[in-house]
Amino acid sequence: MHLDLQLITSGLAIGSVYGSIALGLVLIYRSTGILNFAQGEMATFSTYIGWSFVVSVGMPYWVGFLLAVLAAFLLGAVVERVAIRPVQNQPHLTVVIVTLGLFLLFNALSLKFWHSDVRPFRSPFPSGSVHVLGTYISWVSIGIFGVSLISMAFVGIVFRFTKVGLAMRAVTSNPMASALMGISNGRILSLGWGLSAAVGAIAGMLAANRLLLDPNMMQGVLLYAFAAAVIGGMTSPVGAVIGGLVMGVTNALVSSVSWIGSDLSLAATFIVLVLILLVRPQGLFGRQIEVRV
Amino acid sequence: MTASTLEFDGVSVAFGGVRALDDVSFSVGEREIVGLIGPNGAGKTTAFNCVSRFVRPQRGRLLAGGVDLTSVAPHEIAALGIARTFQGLELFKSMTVAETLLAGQHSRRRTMGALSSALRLPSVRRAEAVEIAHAREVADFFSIEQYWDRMATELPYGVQKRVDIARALVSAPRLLLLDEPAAGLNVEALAELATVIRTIRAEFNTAVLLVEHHVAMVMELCDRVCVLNFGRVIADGRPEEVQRDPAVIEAYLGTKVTDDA
Amino acid sequence: MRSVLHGHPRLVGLVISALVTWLLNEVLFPTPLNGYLVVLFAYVGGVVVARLSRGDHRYAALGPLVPLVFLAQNSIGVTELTQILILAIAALGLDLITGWTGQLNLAQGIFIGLGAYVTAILASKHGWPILLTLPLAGLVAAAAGLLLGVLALRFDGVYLAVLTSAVALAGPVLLLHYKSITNGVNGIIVNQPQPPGAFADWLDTDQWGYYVTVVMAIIAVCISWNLLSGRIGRALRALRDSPIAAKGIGVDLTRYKVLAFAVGSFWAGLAGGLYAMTIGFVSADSFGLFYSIQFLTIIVVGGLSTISGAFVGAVVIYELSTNVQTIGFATTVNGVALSIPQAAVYAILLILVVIFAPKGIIGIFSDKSDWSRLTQRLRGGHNRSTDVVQAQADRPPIVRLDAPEDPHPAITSY
Repeated sequence: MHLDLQLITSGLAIGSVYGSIALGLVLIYRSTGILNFAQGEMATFSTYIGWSFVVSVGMPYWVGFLLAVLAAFLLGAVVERVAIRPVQNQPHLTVVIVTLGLFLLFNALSLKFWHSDVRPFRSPFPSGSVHVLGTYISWVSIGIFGVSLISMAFVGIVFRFTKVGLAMRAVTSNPMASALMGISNGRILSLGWGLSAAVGAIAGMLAANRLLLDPNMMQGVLLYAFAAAVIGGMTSPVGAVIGGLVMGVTNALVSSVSWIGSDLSLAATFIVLVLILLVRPQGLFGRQIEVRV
Repeated sequence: MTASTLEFDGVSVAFGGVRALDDVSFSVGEREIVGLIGPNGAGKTTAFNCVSRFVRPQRGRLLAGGVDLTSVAPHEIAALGIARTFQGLELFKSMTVAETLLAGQHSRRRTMGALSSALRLPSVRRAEAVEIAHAREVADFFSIEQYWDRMATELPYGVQKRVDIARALVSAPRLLLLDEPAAGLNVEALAELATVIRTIRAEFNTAVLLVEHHVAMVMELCDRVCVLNFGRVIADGRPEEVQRDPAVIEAYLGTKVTDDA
Repeated sequence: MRSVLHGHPRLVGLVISALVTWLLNEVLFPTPLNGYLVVLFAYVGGVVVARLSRGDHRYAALGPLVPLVFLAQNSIGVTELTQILILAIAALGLDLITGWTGQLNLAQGIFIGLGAYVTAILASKHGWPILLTLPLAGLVAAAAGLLLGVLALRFDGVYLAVLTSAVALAGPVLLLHYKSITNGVNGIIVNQPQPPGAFADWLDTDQWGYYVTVVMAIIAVCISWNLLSGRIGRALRALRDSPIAAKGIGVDLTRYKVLAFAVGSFWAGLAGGLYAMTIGFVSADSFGLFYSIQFLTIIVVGGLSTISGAFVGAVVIYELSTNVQTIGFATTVNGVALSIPQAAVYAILLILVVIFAPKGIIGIFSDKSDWSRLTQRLRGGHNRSTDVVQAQADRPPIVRLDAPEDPHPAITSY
């Protein structure tokens, strides 16, 4: 394993995609305690919408990008209202099955509308690279990393500094009290799902060029994002983002080891994850929850 | 004092920097009813959880029948003849009253017996039959046998409380730990509770240690009362002695002694 | 219904349900019924009879198995039923882990794969008789399950979901990687066993495979029933419902959680062995995350923590995933017919079942059923529990500990 700077920056770029999906997972998990298995497939679906706007309709890239993010937001909100809210008070496993169902549904819909062949999707970033610290870093990596970071920062700002964000945090920490304060829990939860779907769409659009757009594009990503969210402690948005970067870099480094190679890198990365969790079961940023009798 | 069923010997527990229990020593004798009282945050529940091994004492010993409980795993406590109830009841929500009372006898069979259970060998059937019979006796004692086949958590609160106590007693313990048995009871039920606990001792031959906010009931019921304040034992003796103890009066001054707590 | 505790399966009910199904199948309908319809008939018959005889509906678990014996005579549907039973055996194992013990396991598929490989390798490469490899397939999977169970002790809830989905994802990759053992992407071909001498005259290969599977399913149901209806089942439910109280009554959480994983994986391995034997081909990419998810949906749709739920769920999910047709519409847009793809219909049905019958299909038949809840909601009524009051009036308790009948006293909440 050699510490190649180029490898690390490329790992950081894909890691920021993992981080975005993980952030979406954490936003939903914090507010509802639900692990959304459909997060990745919804992102793929939204990416296809963006692809249709840009490639089929011929819109400028960033217009299509914005439309896709908007569509994802609406999609997330509608999914929460239609599929999640009816089972919200059911046992954990029931809700897991619903999100698994959504996973299958969006996968099937992507396959139906856009078929299984890989769609080329050009990157909005210039193709060259820049010479930094004795190594070449591609503009694509910088672009993916930069835009992901901006979108994640945007979510952070919404959470921390806006009234909507305050309401979301209130619903998360005490649904009963916030309902008594006149906050509409339902609307806030829809908003949370919309927001996390939008972040997912951004990640999907950014990753489409590198991961190659096909209906199963996000399945590997989802697992890395799970790992990222878990490393981050499941409830910490910052932890999820850092967890994503850790997973991205780990994966890039592990793949470069000759006897592991890319076909075992997934397994090796998860061994790293399990080791981390064995040492710190609550994740790197989570707090140990005390069980009271 | 006769041979003690449970003995706290200089037990100390700290959470972070907070001393929850500080060098606590007291004992519960055979067939004795002992009350553990004290203002909020005095360490009563922590003392309880030490016995259940949910909390590990940093110093001191906890002796029960010659065994030091601090070196015993939580699930082995029941087999040593110590059973407890829970303030939040903690009934098993998928079980009927009958199943709850059978589950309560888990510690009676010492081995898991996965293979003999899988084949339902005669020995397993016999053990099951004995346990069912015993569960019926206890259900009868607590007048809950008419709920035998009903889900325990769907019953009225008062019945659930009885199921919780029955689940503990069905294991035929030498010591019964009651965690705030009076909580949520109205005045009449409260008056009966003392009678019930005395009957339990007579019927089941067991010592009782209870944590309780309700001071008046404790004073009336208990053979001996141990008062905790800020993690220390400030008084230990017969109820009438403890009531006159200046340290106890001081501890409770300013802290409102509520009747409904 | 005190019979729950004295526990003897109501054989009469089973036999009657078998006969009814056989009649339906052979006499009333000239053409053989679809396999899953037969199973559902048999199940409903079992439930009705169990009800009428005031038994517990869980006894009906064996119901679907009995009439199947008659079915093999007309070969149609035999391979289908065999696969359904194999799914059900593995689902039974998963239910032990996830339903009864509350440990979310997304890796059941990989244990089936493990069992399938054990059978395939021993039978194809070393010439073992297939029937002999089946218990070994179960044991190897059980050993692996034991390891995962020990690892799982450290995790809970979503963390366990992530851990097990990682196992589900990494497993096939590893199997593909070690080509010398598993033949990599080429997989292993297994020669399906011929029925032995005495049976060879009146059974073909498929039917023999079917009967072997039926016997294994019956064994799995009986052992599961024995384990779960007794002390072990109570300990597992206790630790799922309230870990604290479970410790209090003396349940060793560690041992029982690991036991559930080991036994649950044993059934998966056995199912895998049967899979290799009846499909005749084993390849690592059949056992991925999607495959594992299928078993989770089986137990939830069928009904968690019920033995019969695994079977009903297996029937429904198998039929959904193989027989659901693309829903077409008459309208066309730009000359392209509008339709919902098969997988999407499957997904939507799955979500609808979970929303409207959260306790699964078995829940519809149970006492406090979703069905009655649903009709009550439609009538605008509330949950009434008058029978509690009546039961109390029956006989005054000797020792009373009654509180005001407020089910949620604020003081006791923690």
